[in-house]
Amino acid sequence: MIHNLDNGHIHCRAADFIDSCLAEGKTLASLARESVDLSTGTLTSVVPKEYVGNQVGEFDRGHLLGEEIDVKTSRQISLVSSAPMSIRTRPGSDRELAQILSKRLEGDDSCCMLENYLASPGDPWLRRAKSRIVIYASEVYHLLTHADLDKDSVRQAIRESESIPIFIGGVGTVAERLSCLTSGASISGDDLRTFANSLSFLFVLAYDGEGYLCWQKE
Amino acid sequence: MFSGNEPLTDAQLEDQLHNDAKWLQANGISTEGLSERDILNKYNEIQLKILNAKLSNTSYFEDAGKIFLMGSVSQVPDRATDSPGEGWEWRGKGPVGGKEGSWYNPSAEESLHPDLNHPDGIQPHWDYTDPSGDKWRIFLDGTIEPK
Repeated sequence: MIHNLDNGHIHCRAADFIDSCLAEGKTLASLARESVDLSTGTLTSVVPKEYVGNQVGEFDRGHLLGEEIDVKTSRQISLVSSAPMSIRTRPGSDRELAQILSKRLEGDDSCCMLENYLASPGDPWLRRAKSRIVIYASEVYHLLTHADLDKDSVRQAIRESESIPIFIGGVGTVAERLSCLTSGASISGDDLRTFANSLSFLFVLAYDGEGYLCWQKE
Repeated sequence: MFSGNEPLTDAQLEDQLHNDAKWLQANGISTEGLSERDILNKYNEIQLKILNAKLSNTSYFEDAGKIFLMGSVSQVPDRATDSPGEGWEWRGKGPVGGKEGSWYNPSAEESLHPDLNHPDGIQPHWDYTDPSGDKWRIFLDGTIEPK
């Protein structure tokens, strides 16, 4: 569920929270911190629909523990040697974020970069990654272009790159050369800076991993 | 040479039984009160559940009312500075165990972030991201909640 955070005091606190996350992130986060003016533009939150009242304004903690989960959203699984049972799983906000990013990738020259805060270029799992990996120095990024705009591809990239405590990403534009890169290719600091300067949308992980705060250029 | 078709010798069976029981216990599944045959059956049943979960791309399975995650964590540490096990590395900024990093398994892409001082309402826990990308809270008593 998307909430607008453009109401005075909450806008300032949301901007501060996003800024503090960018300050902790890696190079893309740092460049985005320089190029994005959080005091202008629209701030929104993407949170689970179970959030009520003031919870949307408490960005630095989760809220869903012990809450009743809508039975209709539970997943039914059947296991061998066991009667069918219901496992309570929450509909993650990543699905909604994937929809937003997918929509923003509709422009031909749009691309999305997701900063993987924990991965390093030599990690064995990267060889099995389904999303497109690009490397800058010792940092790992997941790149989505217009060709990847279907929601499943976007969600896959989010699931592979999302890390606690820091997860940031954004949508902007890159040179055509970069949109054709194969997975595992390297990019330069200038490429990252150009992308950061073109950002029209930015998000950070919030609510202890239960949701996101987003900035959208005016 | 052992072809795989001969019945197990008593010694081999005893080894197998010992390994199966040890594996079950290491993964938090009690073998108390089980006969030798029950232990073998239990081990096979759990392996089948794991296989089934893998085939259905599910990151957990259920046994006797408990949820078992498919990742490599069998027990979370009591202290943020303690590694969850072999192959795990501390990644992120700040000191080991700090709020700006996580324990990370680069082979499987799973991570454990200590959140042992959460504000009121949520008990101290670890944020676990399993290899499929699903997120969980693991409390110090072993209770698991999906995030």
